[in-house]
Amino acid sequence: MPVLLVSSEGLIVHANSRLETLFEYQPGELTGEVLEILIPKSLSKAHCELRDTFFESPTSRDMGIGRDVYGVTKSGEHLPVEIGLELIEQDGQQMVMASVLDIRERLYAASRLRRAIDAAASGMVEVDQDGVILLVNQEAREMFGYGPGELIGKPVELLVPETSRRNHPVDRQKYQARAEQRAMGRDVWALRKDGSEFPVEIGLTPITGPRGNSTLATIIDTTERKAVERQLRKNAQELEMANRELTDFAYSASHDLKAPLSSIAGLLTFCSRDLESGDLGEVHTNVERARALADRLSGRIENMLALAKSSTVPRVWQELDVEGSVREIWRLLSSGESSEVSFVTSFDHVGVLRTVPVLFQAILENLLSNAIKFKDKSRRSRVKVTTRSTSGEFYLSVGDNGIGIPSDCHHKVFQLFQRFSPDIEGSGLGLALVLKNVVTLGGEISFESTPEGSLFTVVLPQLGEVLQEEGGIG
Amino acid sequence: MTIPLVIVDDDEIDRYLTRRTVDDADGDFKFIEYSTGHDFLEVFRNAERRHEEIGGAPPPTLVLLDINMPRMSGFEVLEELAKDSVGFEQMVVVMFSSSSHAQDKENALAYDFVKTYIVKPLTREKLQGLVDQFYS
Repeated sequence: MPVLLVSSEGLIVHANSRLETLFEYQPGELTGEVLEILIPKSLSKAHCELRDTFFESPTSRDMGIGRDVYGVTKSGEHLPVEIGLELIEQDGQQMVMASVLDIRERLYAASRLRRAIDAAASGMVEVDQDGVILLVNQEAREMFGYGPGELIGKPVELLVPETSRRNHPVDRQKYQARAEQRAMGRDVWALRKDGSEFPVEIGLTPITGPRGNSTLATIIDTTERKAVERQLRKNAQELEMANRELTDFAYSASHDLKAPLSSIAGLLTFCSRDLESGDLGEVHTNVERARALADRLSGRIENMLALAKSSTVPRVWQELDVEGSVREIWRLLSSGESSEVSFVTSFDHVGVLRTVPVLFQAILENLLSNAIKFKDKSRRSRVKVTTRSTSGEFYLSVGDNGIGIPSDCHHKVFQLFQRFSPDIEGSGLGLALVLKNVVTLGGEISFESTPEGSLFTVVLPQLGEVLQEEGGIG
Repeated sequence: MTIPLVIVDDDEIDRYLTRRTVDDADGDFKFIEYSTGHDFLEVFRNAERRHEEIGGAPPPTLVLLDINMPRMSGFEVLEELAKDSVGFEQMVVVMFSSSSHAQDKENALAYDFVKTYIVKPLTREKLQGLVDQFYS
């Protein structure tokens, strides 16, 4: 080991040959020289003072702990070194023996390790037992948005979102007590320098070292994965819904389509029997019945197709003329009505409605057609359409003074194939279609109904899809 | 022996077709029809009206109960009957539906007082089968 003996005045008393070789001096060349020729120029003045302080209260110790210490060779090269200081007395004189360790190899190895750590795809943060950050790799720095060296020595709670910061030191201590390799809990969020938060997955590894225990956290930013997962979940839900609809359709095919057909077949059987027996009156009645059934069947098929199609309608979001749509649909629906219906509108919304016109019009058509269909024959029918808008939401209400929905049926109003009035023909699909379209448009629907009438209210985003983020896997 | 046969079905044409089949069948039936489960339950639960409209047992009343009805479905009628938990010996409840859906059949037969499940339409053969099974 290269060793140097220095007097209290700062003169080199002796340098061993290994030290001379390390600092490129000839044998004996250093003896009598001032110590500062081995020290970088920028530090030599400060060093003189430090040396004096050392001799005032001398203790044996390592030099420059926590700092990089350099020596200067004869040719001016800076050598990274570690220096141990030991006080000795010779001939009544105090002297210092400095052992100098060349740490170039060690630093080289450390820098290779550092490069490897920085090249790692996950963020790494090492924290001591008091929660002080010891090491941060490049990935972690970038992830959290800090510059080089900015985090070293800071409390790790700097990286923890406000909401979990209070419990973090306690959790940290609990972890250290058990010190096992494991993942940090579920749904963990991290805090960037700019205050934004992001979801992470963190693995913890306890490290036992000569200078105490520490913990290495391996951090993965899961923002993207979360987005993919969300998209997958959404896809799965859509698939599940489509599947359920298919099942319902199969059910309806057996229930609602086969039934009228088999009734028609039955009626025709009796028709031919009645023809033989000459009961023409009965034949006539049954032919009429068969025809009504055929009409009903074709109506049902049409409704089912509408429902099926609403899933495949291209989602074209456009500005829609609400007043025009309401008037046009009302004109078509009311034209076939025998008795007059009073129609009142009050368009109080502000600004445009951006929506998928096909879906919106189907909602309107079904609500208006119900309002007309379920009228109370004992009074003059009134239908009222109102609109309004508040904080980005568009409200459409369709009210009537019809017979209402029996209160014991309110819970199944939007289910498939639900009919509440024995006397009025229907497929039981209209409100199911309305609900589906409302949900597709990102809205909600509610209703009130009494024997005095019904009021359906649809709430839609006024500027549909504009503000909606697209999935996120982009 | 006159068998009282009750049909509970909202569909007027289905009731008509059933009545014609019953009229043509061998055997003596008293045909009673209700267009809602509510109407049927009201009569069935009122001893006096029941005796008047349907008649007294024996023989037990053959009840053909439709499933898909507005307001109160056939299943809801079964639920109401289950609440009563009396009078089952006085009737033979048969689910009578255009649905050949296995789930519907399973749901119906889960009630121990539902004797069987037949798919519409009622034919002479099906009716004879019911008589042979429950009235011989």
